[in-house]
Parts: sequence; C-alpha cells; structure tokens
Amino acid sequence: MAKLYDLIIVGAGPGGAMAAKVAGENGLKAALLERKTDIKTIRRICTMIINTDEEGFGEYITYNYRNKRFVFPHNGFSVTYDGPFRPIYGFHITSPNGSRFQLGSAQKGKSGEQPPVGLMIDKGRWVEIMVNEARQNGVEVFTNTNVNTISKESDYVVVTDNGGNEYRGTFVIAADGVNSRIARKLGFNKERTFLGTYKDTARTYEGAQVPDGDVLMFCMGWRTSISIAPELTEGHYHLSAASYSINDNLDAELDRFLSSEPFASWFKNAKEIGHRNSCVSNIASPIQVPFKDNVLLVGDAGWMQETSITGAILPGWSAANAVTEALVKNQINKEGISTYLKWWDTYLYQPHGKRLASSGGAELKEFLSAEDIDYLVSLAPDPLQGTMNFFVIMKSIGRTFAALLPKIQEERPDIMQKLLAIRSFPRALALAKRRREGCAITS
Amino acid sequence: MIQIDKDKCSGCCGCVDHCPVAAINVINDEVIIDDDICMECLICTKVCPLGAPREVANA
Repeated sequence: MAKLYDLIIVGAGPGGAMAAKVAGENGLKAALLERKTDIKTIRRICTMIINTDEEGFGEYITYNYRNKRFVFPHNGFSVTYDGPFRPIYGFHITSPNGSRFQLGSAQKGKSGEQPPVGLMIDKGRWVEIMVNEARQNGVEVFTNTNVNTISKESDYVVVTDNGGNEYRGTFVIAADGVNSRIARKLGFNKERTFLGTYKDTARTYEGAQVPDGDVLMFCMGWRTSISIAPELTEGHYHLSAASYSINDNLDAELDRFLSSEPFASWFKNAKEIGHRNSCVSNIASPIQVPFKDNVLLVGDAGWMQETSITGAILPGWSAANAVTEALVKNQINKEGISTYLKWWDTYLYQPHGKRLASSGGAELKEFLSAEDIDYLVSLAPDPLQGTMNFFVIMKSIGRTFAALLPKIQEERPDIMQKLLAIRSFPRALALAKRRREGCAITS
Repeated sequence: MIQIDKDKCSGCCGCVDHCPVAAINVINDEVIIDDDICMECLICTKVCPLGAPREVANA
C-alpha cells in the first residue's frame, strides 16, 4: 500500500520550496514532487528580484547582509540566502526615442543616495537552499516527477505522475505555477476569466552598455512588450519580447528593436550568450478561495500572472503552517487550514485579486503610435520615488498621468482623444481579442 | 507526429503545461512527447515561443 504523507507539495519553485522547508521544520511527514531533474536550474524567464525595504503583501522584507539572511519581520521569520545578489534601484519605462519615465534613480542608487528597491538573487540557489533544509528535516524530495492527475479518496488526496506512481497525502499544496494543471484538474478554470496567453522569449547578452542599467526596464511603443533586465553578472542583460498574440514573431521584434537607436548603441558591442529562455503563461483571473478537497493552491497556481517571488514565498509559508495547525487540531478540512485562506484573502485577493479579476482592456499599441508614446513619456522626465512593488508602480503611473491630462488636452488633443478611447474600450471586445489570439487552457 | 527540436527548446515547460492530454513530460531535463498519448492537436506548436515543437512525418 502506498505510503500516506501528511503533506504532498507539488512544484519546487519558491512557493513549494518554502512550503517544504516549513513542513520539514514543523515535523510533518512530507514529500516534495518536482518535474525537473535539477531543482536549481531555472528554465523559465524570471527577473529574480525580491522586493526589499517597502511594503509587499503585508510584509517588509529586508536583507541582513552580515548574516546573509532575508528577513520577514511582520510574519516573524528569516531564511538563509548566501548566494550572489545585485541591487536594483528602480523600474523605468522607455519610449522608442529613448525618453524615460523613472520610478527610482539608478544614478542616485549607485552613488548611495537611494537604497535599493529590490535585490536580484540567484533563484536556483534560493530554491536549492530551501529544499536542502527541507531534506535535512526529513522531507522526501522526488525529482523527475511530472504530476498529471489528482483525485480525492475518502481520507486522502492522490496525485499520480506520468510513470503511474501514486503519492498519497492528507493534504496537498499545489505550487505548480501559473499554468497549474492541478488548478484546472480541480475545476477552478471553469469559473475563471481567460485573460490571455502570454508568450515571452528572452536572450542573454554580455558586453551591453545600458545607461542607468541597474533597473528593470520596460520599453513601450513597440509591437510587442520589450523589456531589459540586468543579470547578476555586470554587463549581462536579458532582452525579452512578449505578446498576447501567439502568432507574433517575437524574434523578429527583438531584431527590429536591436537595430533602432538609441537601443542599437546599447547593444552594439554585445554578444548573445547561453541558451534562450522562454515562458508561455495561460493568464486567468485570480482564484478567490484557493482550496478544494484538502488541496491548497499557493503562489502563481492560484493567481493571474507573476505573484512575484515574495508572492510565492509568503503563501507557501502560510499554507504549510496552516496545514500543520490543521493536523495538530485534527481538523482535516477547510476550517482547519483557514488561517491560510485568511492570509490569501487579506494580503492578495482583497487588495489586488478582486481588481485584477476584472482587468483586461484595450492594448495601448492599438491606439498610440511610437511618437505618441515618445510625447507622453517625455512629459514626466524627473525620477519619481523608487519602487519595485508592481501595484505601487501602476498607481504611480496612473497618478502621474492623471495630473498631466489638462496639459495633454491643451498640447495634444489628438492624443487625449486616444486616451479616452482606450479608457472606454469595451472589456468584452478586449477579452474576445485575447481569446482569438491566445490559446486558452480551460480543462 | 510532433517532435521537440532540442536545439530550440529552452525547457520552459509551457508546452508541458498547455497540453490538454498531458502527453508531454520532462524526463531527465528533456521535454519529450509521448506519441501514444499525443492527439496532434498542435497546441504545443502554437504556444511555444521558440518554435521547438514541430510536425514531422510518421516513420
């Protein structure tokens, strides 16, 4: 008869690895299942930045440089991280002619006048540390294990891998990422709104000279969403193109970007290195209650797209502790793990999930030309307060441009008309376009 | 049948996730399509950002 675990965790990303570490420390009989062979090799695109020293999901993460620990003071724990890191000083938006809208000044950051807003880490090393600690505390780790089905028996949950091996757990934590097969096998996707299929391809360059490059940069005004992100090694950058239209030629777009000034100069001495990275995400509205039949969904598995590393670590931590509490109280049900559902609702769903669930509007590129974007970005040339909190970024952009509307109306009424058209574009039409141009996973 | 071009594949597992019948798995860090399960719906060819899965004639 198959062994019965207290807890099975599916997926050894930041969410699952944290859950496994907690499960081990708490003394649970636990198994961590991961499809990759080597958990520290990260294949999917990720900027690998942990937001620090500002609020995020109710936490105020900071890094203890002396003891090499990331500190979570609000929830009351800290974790070892002894790998390499790189300070990130902001989030910048560029327009096609190189104008910048800056949240955070890279120059002030490098001169020490402004603290980092995030630390780029080696995510593979992060996960490796968590999983090693889990292993040392008795968690069994199964790599090369692709979980394909999940079902509920009377007293336990069964997950099965592609080899037909069964794993039984009183509880399961599904940390299998944005395209969670477990979420859809449990029927969650039927109630979620499909928001698009997001395809992303990234190249790595060495020897690029990116001005004020210690930031995460989004380049607007192109056919696809182009971004430039630093790598841990100085002079190394990821250049990526992403789109909701699966037929877009992302490589051709990157080539076009690289041949346009000023960006061409940034990369003129650069050489592409390593293998290309990619990811394709099925974006669906966030799940309000990430629980069914003793399966808890954490991180991206229950969200919309990119909770961020912090947004994966914290649910993983909360869920594993909630499972522990439920086992101690012998409440093997939704009530038993309710502290996790309260965490998700308080820090993710109410402040952000509700709003994102009704997101989806016109794409700016359908209305605004490259020159329009040049004009708009040039209206706010002075750096604003640095942040890497995605929601604060969106609010800052909204506030800044709302205040500029009278000026835009006066100087460029044509652009004002376009902005109004974007705002009033029917969501139903925008979502229909995403459905047409994407490839929804529904079951 | 559908084959994954190993030179193009990044191992991002987008196709593994999107396959409606779970025909694609990661085995020893290689993304492999199980022909017995594959329905040739071509979703993997559509979603891959690097164009790694492609139709080849059956042997």
